[in-house]
Amino acid sequence: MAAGTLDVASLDVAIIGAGPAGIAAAANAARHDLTHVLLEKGELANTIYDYQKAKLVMAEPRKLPLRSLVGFEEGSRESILAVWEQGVRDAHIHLVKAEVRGIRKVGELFEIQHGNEVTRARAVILSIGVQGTPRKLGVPGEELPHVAYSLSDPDQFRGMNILVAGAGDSAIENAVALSKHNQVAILNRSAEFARAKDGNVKLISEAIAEGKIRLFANSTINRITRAAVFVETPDGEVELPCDRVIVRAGAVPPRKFLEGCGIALPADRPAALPQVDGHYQSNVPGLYVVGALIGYPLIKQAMNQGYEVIEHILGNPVEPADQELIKERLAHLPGTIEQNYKLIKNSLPLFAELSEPQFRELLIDSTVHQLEGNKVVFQRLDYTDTFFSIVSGGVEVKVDETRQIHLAPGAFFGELGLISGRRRSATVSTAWPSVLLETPRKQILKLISSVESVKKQLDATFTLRSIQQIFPEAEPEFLRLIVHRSKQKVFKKGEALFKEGDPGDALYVIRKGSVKISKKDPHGVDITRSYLPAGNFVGEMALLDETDAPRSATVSAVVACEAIVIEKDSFRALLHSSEALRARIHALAEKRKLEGLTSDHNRKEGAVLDFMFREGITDASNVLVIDSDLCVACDNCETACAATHNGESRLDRKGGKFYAAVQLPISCRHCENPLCMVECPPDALARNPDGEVVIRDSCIGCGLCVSNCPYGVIRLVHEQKKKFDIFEWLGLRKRKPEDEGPAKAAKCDMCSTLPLGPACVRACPTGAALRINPSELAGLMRRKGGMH
Amino acid sequence: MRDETFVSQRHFAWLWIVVVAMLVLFGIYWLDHPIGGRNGATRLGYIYGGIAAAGIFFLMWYGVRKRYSYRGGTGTLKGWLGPHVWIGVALAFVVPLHSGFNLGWNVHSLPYLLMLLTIASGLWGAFAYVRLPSEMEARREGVTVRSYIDQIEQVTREIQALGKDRSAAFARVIEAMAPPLEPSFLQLLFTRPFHALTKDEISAQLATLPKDEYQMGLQLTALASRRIHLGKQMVVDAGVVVQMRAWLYLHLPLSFGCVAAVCIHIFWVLFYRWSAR
Repeated sequence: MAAGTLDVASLDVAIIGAGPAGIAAAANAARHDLTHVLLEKGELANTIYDYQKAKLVMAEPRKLPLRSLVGFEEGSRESILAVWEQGVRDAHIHLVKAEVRGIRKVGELFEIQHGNEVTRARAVILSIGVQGTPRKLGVPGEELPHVAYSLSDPDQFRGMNILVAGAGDSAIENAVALSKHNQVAILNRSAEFARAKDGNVKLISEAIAEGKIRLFANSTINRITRAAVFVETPDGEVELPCDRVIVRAGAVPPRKFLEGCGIALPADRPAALPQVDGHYQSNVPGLYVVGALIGYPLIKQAMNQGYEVIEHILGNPVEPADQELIKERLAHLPGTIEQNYKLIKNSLPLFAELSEPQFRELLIDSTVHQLEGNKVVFQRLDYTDTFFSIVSGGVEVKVDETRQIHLAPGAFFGELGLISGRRRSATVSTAWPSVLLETPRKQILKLISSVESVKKQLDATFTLRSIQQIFPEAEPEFLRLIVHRSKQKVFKKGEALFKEGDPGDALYVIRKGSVKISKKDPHGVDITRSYLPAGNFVGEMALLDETDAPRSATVSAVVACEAIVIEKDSFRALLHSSEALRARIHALAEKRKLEGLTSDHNRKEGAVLDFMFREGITDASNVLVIDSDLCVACDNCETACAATHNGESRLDRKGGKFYAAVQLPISCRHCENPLCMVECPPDALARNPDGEVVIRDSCIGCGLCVSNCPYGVIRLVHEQKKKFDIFEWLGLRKRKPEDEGPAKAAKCDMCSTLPLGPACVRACPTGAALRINPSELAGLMRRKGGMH
Repeated sequence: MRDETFVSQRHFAWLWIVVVAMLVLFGIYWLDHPIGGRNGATRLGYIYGGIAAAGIFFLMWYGVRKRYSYRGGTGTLKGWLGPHVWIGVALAFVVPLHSGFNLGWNVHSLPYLLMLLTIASGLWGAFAYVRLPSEMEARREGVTVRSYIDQIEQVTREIQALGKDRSAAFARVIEAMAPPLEPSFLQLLFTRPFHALTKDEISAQLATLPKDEYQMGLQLTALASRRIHLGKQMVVDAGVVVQMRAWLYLHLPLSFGCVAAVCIHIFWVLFYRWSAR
């Protein structure tokens, strides 16, 4: 490191903190021949220096261009540090190792105290990051010597019991590295690792699945002693024997130091960050703050900011680095880019609390549509899953012929697409010329997990919309009130919402999952009558007449369900509010009542329905079935599947369940509500427009879908790089690991790439294999079971 | 209620097509009175020989269609199997018409002999394909054959756990009562169940146990007889699968033999005809 003396009377700029932002700023200052100094108390890029050995440092956000003169691209900790050390030398940066104790503005100049010296500069760039002050847990025992806030060499620990507290990238990286030689547990305050990068989520999920790391989800630490940690879990307090605790709960800004520099911070929030203007200037003119300290933790963003501040000091106009990408997104709209950007930002209250870069990233990943009036945006039952916000104009949401909802600018739609794999529940078309913002599902999910206000607004809207779709006749304001007074209730698989004979107390709107309706036959045996998927309501019959009739049937959850519970009084008030609504509900209840009285439900029929619930067929869109009376066990279906899917069959003919002579071999059913899609880190599971659930190339092979699928139809398969090897075929050579690609999830894709449909079905010599929908399957089962 | 099989599909359409075609061929044969009597060397003989050869080509093509057309190909494999069966049967009648019912112990009758054997094995296969699937016990019970094997392994583990740290006598009883259940090909083909000990034999085995292990011996007996019972079901069901597959091991080689013999026959005939000029 170059050590220099500071004999200049006053510098153009002093940069404090030689992290990515500081290096980039200093390099640009040096290029413009500004007199400068880069002050650093520790190592160059201290935060990265403290990373675990050989840690892979990612270059996010990928689309953002890098402006810095000192390079940066994804690579190991070591390679990046080497590039920066070289860069500091090549750019002739004046780097001084010293700890800054205070900054004071005297007249037009800043006085920077470090050691016993004082440096004067016309401008100061503060790029000190936040890692200097790690966030503490605030629990008894955290001052003990075996509680640490960083970890540079995990290999120095062996055979110990270690608890890592935190759910971010550094916590995951530490836990995974330590688990090689130690008993490791990871403590996560929430249920998911939403903050971490995809690659790390994969790593930790695998390690937890393989039992290498013990997970405490939704847990907190109560206290720490010399030998143990007391963890508060959803099931009560657990005493965990522990030799070392590593806390990776993020960091807080050095408040005292900042206030000493004259930077204003709100008194009520201890973790508040300094506020800066569009040029990163703080409330002290000439004092700029960049990087993690103002909430930009990503290296690329920080480096760009460092570069931009120098340009601003020189009086050069600077556009944000991603301006070109924003321009591309908005170029087709009338008016200037600036106008349109402001229009979009100001018209969408859902995104009001997004920070500037968050909003820019959202916009870059979205598409802005300019549509004429009366244009269909998407159709009911489509399988698309993007999210739409209305910038201007307006849309009609048409649930069916009689039910329509109008949405104005600022509103959003398509939110059901966020629930993985759901079909569109309504047809949406523009009411008049409109500008719509279409955002990929993944982007919105990311915001839900990181921005509280987005999550809250979406949740409230979800509830309101599901009620609105069921009671479109009611006044929206009245519905809002009903929603406000309703409760959300979760039912476990098999749990009864209510039982036959119970007093009728509430209406249940099924938001998620599906329920079955059963009634006792004359012998007292409970017989399944029918089932209802999400988007329906149950329990209205007992509420309609004023006599408080008991429940006429039992309703229970087929899968885990979520219901909105509307109390009897609220429901009756709702009925009184609209004559049209009252008439419709009465008619529907009458129809349901008659159905219950007239249909010939017997035990066999009930058994067919029960089998369908049990095996999850009611949620399937297309099922592979084998007619056992025809199957000759030749396995040509599997051979055909393997021949059309890189040599690996995606169906297991010898497995699965039977009903009468109908077999459901293990093969994807392309569920209406595919659990496999939930939580897929790279969002690789998707629906084709025709409804098949397929796995895209972006699969990282983490295996989450494998464990999430209740029917065991997804497997991890190594991609075969080499197609055919004659020596291997002759048995003269074994397949080597390098011939195989990485493991990826594989399952039935319904042969969507083949023009003639599923190969398994066409290759069956006896016609035993069929791909049919659930109602066709019910028909087949009834026929095989001797019913008509 | 039975579903349409590959034999009966489209209301036996392929059977009727073949029957009509055969009636036409018989009619023409009946009307034709060649000089020198009916035989393979007449004009009609050559035509019928050509028809038979084309038929053989079609039948062999089924094997190609089955194995190499997974991505494309016309129709379903079931759609191809119907005509394969009925045209195959018809060939047994076309060939005598081709030869004018001249048969002898010579190289020209060899293809016909092999063809008849191929057809016979094919009929066995067709019978197996139609009749055997519903004979599988597991399917009636709503489980797969594999679940029998899983259950046998589970019971075997329970027996091993029971025999842990017991006397040598107990180990010998386990050996006698729970032999390995690994059926041979022939055992499956003829569905011969595993040998189960008679009640007397079991009593004799239990008598060899020390007194304090007698109760354990009863537990073992229950487990072992359950295991043998599962073994029996496994043999029945796996046996059905073997029977459904075994015929193919005759059908395929015979069909290739037949094709080879037909080639020799055609070469021989053409060679003589050419050299006789």
